[in-house]
Amino acid sequence: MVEPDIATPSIDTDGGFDFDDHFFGLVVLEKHDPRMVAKVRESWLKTRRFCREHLVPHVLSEDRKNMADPQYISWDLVRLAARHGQLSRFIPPFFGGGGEGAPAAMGPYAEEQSAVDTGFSGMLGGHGLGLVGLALTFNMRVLQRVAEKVVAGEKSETPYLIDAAITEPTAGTDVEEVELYPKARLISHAKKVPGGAILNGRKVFISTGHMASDHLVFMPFDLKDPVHDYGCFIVPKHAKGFSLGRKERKMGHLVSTVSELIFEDCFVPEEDIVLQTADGSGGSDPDRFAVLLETVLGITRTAVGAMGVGNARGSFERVLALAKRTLHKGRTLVNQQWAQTLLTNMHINVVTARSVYLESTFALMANLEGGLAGPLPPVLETALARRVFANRWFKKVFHSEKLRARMLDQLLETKPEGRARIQFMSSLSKVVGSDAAMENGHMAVEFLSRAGVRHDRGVEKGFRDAKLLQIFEGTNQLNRLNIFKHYLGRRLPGVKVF
Amino acid sequence: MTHPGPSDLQSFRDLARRFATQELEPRALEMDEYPFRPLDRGVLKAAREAGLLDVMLPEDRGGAGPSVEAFCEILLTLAKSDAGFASVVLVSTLAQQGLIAWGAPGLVESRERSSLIAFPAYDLPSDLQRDLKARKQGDGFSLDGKVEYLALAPVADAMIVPATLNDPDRVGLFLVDSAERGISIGDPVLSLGLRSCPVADVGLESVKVPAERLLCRDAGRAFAELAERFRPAVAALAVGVLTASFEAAMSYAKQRYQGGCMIIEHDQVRMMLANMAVVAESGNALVRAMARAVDGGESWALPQAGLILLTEQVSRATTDGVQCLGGYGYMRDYGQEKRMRDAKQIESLFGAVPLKRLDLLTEILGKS
Ligand SMILES: Cc1cc2nc3c(=O)[nH]c(=O)nc-3n(C[C@H](O)[C@H](O)[C@H](O)COP(=O)(O)OP(=O)(O)OC[C@H]3O[C@@H](n4cnc5c(N)ncnc54)[C@H](O)[C@@H]3O)c2cc1C
Ligand SMILES: Cc1cc2nc3c(=O)[nH]c(=O)nc-3n(C[C@H](O)[C@H](O)[C@H](O)COP(=O)(O)OP(=O)(O)OC[C@H]3O[C@@H](n4cnc5c(N)ncnc54)[C@H](O)[C@@H]3O)c2cc1C
Repeated sequence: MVEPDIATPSIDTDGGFDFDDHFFGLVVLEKHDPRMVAKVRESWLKTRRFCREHLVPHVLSEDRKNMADPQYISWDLVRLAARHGQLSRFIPPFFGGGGEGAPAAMGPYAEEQSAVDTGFSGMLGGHGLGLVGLALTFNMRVLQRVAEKVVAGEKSETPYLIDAAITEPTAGTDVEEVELYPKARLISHAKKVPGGAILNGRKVFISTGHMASDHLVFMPFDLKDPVHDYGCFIVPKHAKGFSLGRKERKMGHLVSTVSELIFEDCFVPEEDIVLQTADGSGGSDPDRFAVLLETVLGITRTAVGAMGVGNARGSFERVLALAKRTLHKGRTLVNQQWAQTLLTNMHINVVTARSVYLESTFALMANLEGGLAGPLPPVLETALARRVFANRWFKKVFHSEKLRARMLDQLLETKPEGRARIQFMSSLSKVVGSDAAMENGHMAVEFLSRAGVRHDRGVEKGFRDAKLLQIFEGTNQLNRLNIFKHYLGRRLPGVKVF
Repeated sequence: MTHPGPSDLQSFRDLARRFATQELEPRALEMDEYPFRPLDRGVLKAAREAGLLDVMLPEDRGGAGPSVEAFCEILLTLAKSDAGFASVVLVSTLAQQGLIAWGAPGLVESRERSSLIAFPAYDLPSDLQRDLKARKQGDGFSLDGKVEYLALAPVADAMIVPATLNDPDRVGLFLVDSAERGISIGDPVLSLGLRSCPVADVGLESVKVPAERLLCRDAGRAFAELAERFRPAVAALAVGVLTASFEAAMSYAKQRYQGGCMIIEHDQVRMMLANMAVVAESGNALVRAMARAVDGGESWALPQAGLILLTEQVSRATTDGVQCLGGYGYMRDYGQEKRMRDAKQIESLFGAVPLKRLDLLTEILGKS
C-alpha cells in the first residue's frame, strides 16, 4: 500500500458530519421544544469548533510528551480548555458558567470531544464527574463556591479543576454497586470530630488528580455499615494530612493524569463536609446514598457511552481520511468494495451506539425527578439572576438546609421503576458505546496495518484510548450485571444478581 | 526440509527459556520505553552469543537448520517474555533467510551473520511498497525514493528494500548498506506495540548499488515465498504473547478479592479466561501444524488461514487479558497492556488483515 502522510481530523475530514444527519430524535424534539434543542445545537457546534480548530494541533504531540516523560502534566491543554470556557460550560449562568447544562447536550458534547481526543475528554471527564457528584448532593453552599472558583480560574494561568475520588486500592467494582458495598474491603473512612471530620485511607486511579485544586472525596463514616452512613468531602490539594501519591503510567488517555490520593489524619472542617447521609443533613430516606450513587452513575455512564461513540467515530474518520488517499494495487482504498464495507461496518457501530446513548439521555430526562430534564427557565439566564445569586441574603436562603432537604427529597421521589430504567439504560449506553469504540479500534488498526500502528497517524492512539472505556465507571462486566438486575432481575422474583 | 526430533525441540525450548528468563523478563518493561530510552545493546549481544540470531542457518554454518517448527518453538518462548525482542529475532531471521534464498553465494557468506539487516516485514507480500525507484546506472543501480516503516532500520547495518525496476510493475529487492551515501534513516517511529523492535522510515537519494546487490527481480514472488515460510513464526509470536497474558490474568484473578470472593469465582471472569484458554490451547497446536506444513513443503492455505485466525483472535483475547485486571490492567507496570499492544502490532506483520483474507481466497481460487 502507498500511504499518505498524515491523518488529522479536521472540520472536513468526517464526510460532512452534520447535526441534521445524525440526531433525528433531537430534530423531531425540536418541533416540540425549540429552545432546548437550539441549546443542544449551539453547544454541539461550539464543542466541534473548539475541538477541530484548537485541540487538533495538540492531540498527538501532547500524547507523545506524556509518553516520553511520566512526570509531564499537560498544563497547556488545561489552559487551552480554560481559555475556551471548557471547564465551566455546564455550570449554570447564574454562577457565571456557560449554562450548557441541558442533559440532552451532554452526549453530543462528549461524542464530539472524544472523536478528536478521547483522552482530553477523559481529563475533563474527571472534572465533570466531580461537578456532577457535587451537584447531586444539593449542597448549594459548596456548589456555588466551587462553581465560582471554576469560573474565576478560567481567566487565570492556574485553572481550577476538581476530581471525584471513589475507587480504593482494594475496592473498584465493589464501590460501583450499592449492593456490593457491604462485601467490599474498604480501607478509607471518615471520623466525626468537633468542628469537622478526619479522613484516613487511600484512593486510586483518580482522573484529573494531579491537576485538581480541590478533591471531591467519597468515604464512609462507618466501615461496618458504609452505605447508611456515607460522607462526601472537599479536600484542598494543600490540606494538611493530604498528599498526592503516584501519577499512574497507563496505556492511553495520557493527557488525563490519574493519581493516587493519600489521607493521613486529614482534617476536614465542617464547611467542607459536603454531605453526610446519616445525620439528617437533608432528606431522611435511608436510601439516600443509593439514589445519589445511582444518579451520578446514570449520568456519567451515559456520558461514557457517548465518549465511546466519539472514539469509534474518530477511528472511522481517521481511517476514512487515509483510505481516500491510500493506494492498493493502483486503486484508492475507498474505491474497493471490501474497504467500503469495512468503513460501513465501523459507521454502523457508531450509529447504533449513538442511538443508545441518546435513549439513555432520554431515560434520564423522562424518569429523573427534580427538574433535571430541560434547560433553565430564561429568567435564570439573565444578568439580573447572576447578581441575585451573588447577593448575601439570597445566599442565606439558597444555601439553607431546608431548601437542600427539599431538593434531595425531590430526587428521592424518583420512582423505583424510573430508577431502574435509568440504571439499565445508562449501563447499556456505557457497554454498547465502549464496545463499539474497542471494536472500531481493532478494525481501524487492522484496516491500515503500517499506518494503523504508527503513532504519527493517530489511529493507534484511538485504539489505546478505547480500552479504558470498557473499564472505568464500572467495568463492562459489572454494567452487564446491572442491566440484567434492573431490566430482567426485577421482573424475576427470587433471582439475585449480587 | 529437516524435522527436528522431540529432543531437539526440547533443547531449543531450553535455550529460549533460559534467555527469556535471564535476559528478557527483567528488562521487558524498560525495553518497551524505546524510543524514549535507548535500545539495550547488551540484550542484542547476548542473543547473538546465545546463537538466537543464527538458529535457522544450516548446521554446517553454525545454525540448527532451516526448521520452521524449531524456530516457532523459540519465538513462542521468547514472545512470552517480550514479543518486541522476539520480533527482532523474527525480522533479522527473515532478512537472513531472504539473503540466503536470493543472494549470490559470495555475498551471502560475507553477510549472513555479520549483523542485523533491516527488512520490510510489515509489507503485504502481494503488494509491496513501491515508493523507491531503481535506475540502471553503469554496472549497477541508483536508488531514489523512500521506504516506509522499515523494521530494524534504526539499528541495522544493512537493509533489504523493495524498489521498482524500469517497469513500475516490476519490483526488485536490493541489499543496501545503511552507511551508504544518500541514505537517511528517520527518527525511530513510535509504534503501538513491539516497541523494542525498532522501526524507521528511510529516504534514499541517488544511492549507488552494485549489480550483485539486486537480490531478485521478481520481488512479488520471492517475498511471497519467504513470507509463506514465516507465517507460522508470526502466529507463534501471537500465541506466545497470549500465553503470557493468560497466565498473568489467571494469577491475578486468583489473588484479587472483589464482590465477596476472589474474582476467579465470578463466571464473567472465568468466561474471559476460558476464551483465552481456547485460543491459547488451540493456538499452540495450530502453530505447530502450520510449521510442520511449511517444513513438509505442503504449505499453502493452512499457514495463511492460521495466521489470520490466530493473530485476530489473539488481539481480541489479549484485550480481555487487560479486562481481567480491571484498572490495573490498563497500567504500564503490570505488563498486561503491553501484551495487548504487542498482539495488535503483530497482526500488522505481512500487511493488513482484510487484504490477507482476500489474498488467501485468491490463492485458493488459483489452485482450485
Ligand atoms: C484511567 C482510569 C481512570 C479512572 N478514574 C476514576 C476516577 O476519576 N474516580 C474514581 O473513583 N475511580 C476512577 N477509576 C477507577 C475505575 O472506576 C475502576 O478501575 C473500575 O471500577 C474497576 O475497578 P478495579 O480496577 O478495582 O477492577 P476490579 O474490580 O478488581 O475488577 C477486576 C476484574 O474482575 C471483574 N469483577 C470484579 N467484580 C466482579 C463481580 N462482582 N462480578 C463479575 N466480575 C467482577 C471485573 O469486571 C474485572 O474484569 C479510574 C480507573 C482508570 C483505569
Ligand atoms: C424467502 C424468500 C422470499 C422472497 N420473497 C420475494 C418476493 O416476495 N418478491 C420478490 O421479488 N423477491 C423475493 N425474494 C427474492 C429476494 O429479494 C432475493 O433473493 C434477494 O434480492 C437476493 O437475490 P438472489 O437470491 O438472486 O441473490 P444474488 O443476487 O445472486 O446474490 C448472491 C450473493 O452475492 C452477493 N452479491 C450479489 N451482487 C453483489 C454485488 N453487486 N456486490 C456484492 N455482493 C453481491 C449477495 O450479497 C449474495 O450474498 C425472496 C427470497 C426469499 C429467500
